[in-house]
Amino acid sequence: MRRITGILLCLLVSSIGWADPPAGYPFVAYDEGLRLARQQNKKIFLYFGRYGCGYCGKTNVETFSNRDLRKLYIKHYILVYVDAESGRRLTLPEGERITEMELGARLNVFSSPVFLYLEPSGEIILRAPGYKTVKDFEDFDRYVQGGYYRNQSINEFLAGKS
Amino acid sequence: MRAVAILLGYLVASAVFAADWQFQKPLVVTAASRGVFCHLDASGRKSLAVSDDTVAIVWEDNRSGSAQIYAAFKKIDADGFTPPLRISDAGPAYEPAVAALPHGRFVAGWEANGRVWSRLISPTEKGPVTALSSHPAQQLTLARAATEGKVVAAWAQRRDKWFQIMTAGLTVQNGVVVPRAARLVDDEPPRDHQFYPAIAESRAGVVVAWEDRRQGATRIMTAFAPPAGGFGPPRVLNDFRASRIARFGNGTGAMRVVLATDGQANVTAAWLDKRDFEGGYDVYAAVSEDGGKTFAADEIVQDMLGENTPQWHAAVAMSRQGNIVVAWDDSREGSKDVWFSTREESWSDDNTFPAMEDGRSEAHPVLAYDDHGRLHAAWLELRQGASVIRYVQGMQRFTPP
Repeated sequence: MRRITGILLCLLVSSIGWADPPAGYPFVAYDEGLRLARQQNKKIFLYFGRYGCGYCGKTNVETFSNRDLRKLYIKHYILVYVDAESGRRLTLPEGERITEMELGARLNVFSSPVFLYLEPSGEIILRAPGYKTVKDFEDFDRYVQGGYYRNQSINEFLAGKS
Repeated sequence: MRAVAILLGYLVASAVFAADWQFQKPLVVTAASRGVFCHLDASGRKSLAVSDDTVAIVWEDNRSGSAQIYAAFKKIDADGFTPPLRISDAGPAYEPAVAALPHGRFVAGWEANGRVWSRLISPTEKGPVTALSSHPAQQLTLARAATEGKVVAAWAQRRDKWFQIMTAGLTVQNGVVVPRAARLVDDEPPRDHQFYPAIAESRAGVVVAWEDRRQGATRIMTAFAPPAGGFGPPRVLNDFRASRIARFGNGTGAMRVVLATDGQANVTAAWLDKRDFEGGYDVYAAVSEDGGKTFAADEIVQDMLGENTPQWHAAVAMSRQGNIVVAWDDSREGSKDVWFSTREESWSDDNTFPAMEDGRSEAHPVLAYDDHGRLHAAWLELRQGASVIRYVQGMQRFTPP
């Protein structure tokens, strides 16, 4: 059964490997994610993708298809996906209406994919651009969930492998 | 000695094309209090227009408690704008555009309740609101038509699964905006979304540009229709780089195209382009001498000092005299500033408008030339949660060689 689920997940992910969010993950919009993160006091995993982005597709297919990673990230984070070229409207907590593209401009996101880890308040903890492996995401998760970011840079953390 | 000669040669050559800008004192169009947010983000960035001696700026803000559309006007020689005039009736309303009619009158349009709407406005009148779309629609843009007293419009309209670009001519009869001959720009069965149109009409015909996702990544496409003729097949405007990795991706992206014309047959397109993906979006432009039927090769607009910084919110204007200016914002000096470049034989070094201040975000420029070749520009300032729309008027003075 686990094998069938895994294959199904793989098929779902590979079928939309053109930088939509990976299937099988409960990604929500940025404003909804902020609301849920505050409500549940969970950190946010924010995925900036772009339509047609190759490394987004590669990450979707080769990394997000991992069943254990999926389980870990659904447990630990509110998952948010932003299409960096989209005109989809968002309402920020202070009431301002912006678009997903504008969010990228404000957060200085100028490549894709970019993965951001945020406090429930929206404050940025870690910015991780480019293709990432399962191991990368597991390391980032330990860094964020373990609170190491309060005292160490990600490079210091990875060098010491706490 | 040879080096001195080369330097002298360069200085002489530079002087031939040197052009100074003279700007008047910047003015505040509207200043919102904390918690009120202004937006200048029409599709095609057509939020500013000039009719004879009257300037109009339209924007969205939430001062009433929900997003609504406002306009302010000034005579070209006046030292201030009229108080904001609310022009949307229902709402929330978003992303307004404006285009000039003769005699200080304008057509304004916006999105509300999932449709696009339009009305005549001037400092002294508001016509009734007209629906331009019968289906779900968004991202309306407007431009002055080649025929005096008319406006051309384009918007993205949903048909079944996909948004497609529609156009229409707009006339005004007894103060009422009347859409004419609404049609699809590309009547092939859609394969993916078309978004964010820009439109320009010259004596050679009408050209529409838009974001198109049919190739699996966002491309800029254009289509041209001669006067009284149908649109030809869409053409891809932007060069792009194929994906660097096998099996994944469909190449670099591009977005938010803008168009301007001198009214004759010259058209300039500008857009944000990610072909140099490591530096984020750059501003690219292409010019046409046949009304937009064909465009010359892409040209990068910003100078080398802006190369490693992403550019955002490109706007373009062309004067009746053929001058071209492109403006955008970037953070090359730390905070966001509005920059602009003019095109003579090549794109000039980048300039800033007056009133740029350190520590303040200045972004979202909009531009228009008047018939006398004066440039009108506005942008959005953000500081400590409050937004201001600022305006300036300038004139380019060419230095004799």
